Amino acid sequence: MFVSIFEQSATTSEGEICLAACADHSVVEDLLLPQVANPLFCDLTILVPAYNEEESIADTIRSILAQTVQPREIVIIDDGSTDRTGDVALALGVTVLRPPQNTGSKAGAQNFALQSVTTAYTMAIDADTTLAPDAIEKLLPAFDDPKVAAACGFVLPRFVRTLWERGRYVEYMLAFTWYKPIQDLYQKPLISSGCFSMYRTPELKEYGGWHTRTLAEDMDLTWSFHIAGHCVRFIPEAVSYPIEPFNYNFMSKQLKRWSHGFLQNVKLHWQEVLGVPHLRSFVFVAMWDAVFASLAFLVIIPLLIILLPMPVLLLAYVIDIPIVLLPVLVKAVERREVALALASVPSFVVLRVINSYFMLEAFITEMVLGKSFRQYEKGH
Amino acid sequence: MFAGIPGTGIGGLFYLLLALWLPIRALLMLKDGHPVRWGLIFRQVALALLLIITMWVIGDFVGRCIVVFNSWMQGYSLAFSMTQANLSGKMYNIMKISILAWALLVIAALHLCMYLTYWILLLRKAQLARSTAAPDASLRSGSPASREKQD
Repeated sequence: MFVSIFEQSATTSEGEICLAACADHSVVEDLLLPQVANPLFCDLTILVPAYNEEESIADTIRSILAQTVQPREIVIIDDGSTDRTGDVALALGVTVLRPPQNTGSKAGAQNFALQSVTTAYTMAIDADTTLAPDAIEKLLPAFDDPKVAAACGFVLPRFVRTLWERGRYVEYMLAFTWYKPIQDLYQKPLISSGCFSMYRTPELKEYGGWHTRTLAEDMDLTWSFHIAGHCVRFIPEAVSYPIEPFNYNFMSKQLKRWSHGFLQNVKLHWQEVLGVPHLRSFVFVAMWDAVFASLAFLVIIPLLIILLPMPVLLLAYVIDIPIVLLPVLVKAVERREVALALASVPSFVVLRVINSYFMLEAFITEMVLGKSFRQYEKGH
Repeated sequence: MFAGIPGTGIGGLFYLLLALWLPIRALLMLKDGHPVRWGLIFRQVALALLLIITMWVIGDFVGRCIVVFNSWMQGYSLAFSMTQANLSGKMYNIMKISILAWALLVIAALHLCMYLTYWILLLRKAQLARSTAAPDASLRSGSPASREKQD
């Protein structure tokens, strides 16, 4: 499949996927770096926004350098880090950009670098995310279709140790095995994940890059593409591994950003989204679940247990676990992680109730009180 | 739906319906000459069917639990409650058709609201377009009113 792209693209005009065998890439000479035998290159720039990521940035860069298909340029945006993030990146031989001052958000840092991107494709990767060696190779064929403006892959936590990481592991396994492929088959993935997505550069620039008007810039961009009639694809074979929040402090920051970001996007795009078949259904149903599942978990079920009183109603918190577990186990068998998946289910039950709290809080703040939460706090 | 959103209730059922509709949609797409990813479609449909069976099994299990629990609460021993419940045929599946029907009704109502909002929005846009187009037309036709405006 990939070879055919290479053969087709080698003779195409500028702006097409352009691959070329390259043996003398200067970075590969460093013995500390992964050695890729005869890597193929594509007309791609990878942007990695980073703020105080000295502990994780090296792994991210190494995973990019170990790709079976190499980008033309890897750009680390050192967004005012107070640690050695920039130095670590420079030592690994990649380009480091430093904005004059901290841009205040991931989107701001990415936009700073986007101005100088000249390749046909741009990829955004978080500084705490590593890629499977063939992730770029698997993602590229999605762009054979000229209507595709963005493509994203399967996301899995790199470490699955704490309660929070385990809960997130089950969430991702469920979402990327069951929900997201269906969204993709209806050609409307709800979100092209910001931690690992690839875009056509002209389309990305046309929309002004990543907007800072919401806290979920990746969702904003995905919906903007859908509204404009572009296609967004989900490629499950392309796998990335971000570091997920490992404690409640980080998790709460991330969940606050996600829940407010989702509702801010609903507020911003609802009129246009209503005109996009399938996407409107996904958004409407997501809104319903966000509000009513939260109400059920936090208000209705506890009230019923107290008022009736029927402790058997506690079953409501876990009654759907076998349903959740089924897609998770299907993927876990494929990845040979059945024990890990089974052991992580209790954490998922806890995380789901925490999700409910943040979603309800965001709904009341954004939709009922009309206040918009704007403070971007890094939470992995 | 996606990470960060709780619940598999109405959303879960909606995606189940979408998965079951996939083969029909694929056939329609095939008819129009679009490429179809049969492998992924079969996988999702198989998952959907397995999910339906799982739902049924859960309903049956919870139904049994409730009967046994109620009997136990009345002071009978757990073993006796289980035997009695089995013998008296009091077992029931809580996953009744009526519950599914209600859930489907919620999905339908949700979509009705969505379409109503969309149509109202379209109407409002059309009205707005007409109201802005009318003065332009009078301006172009050179009516006295428009001439006054131009002056």
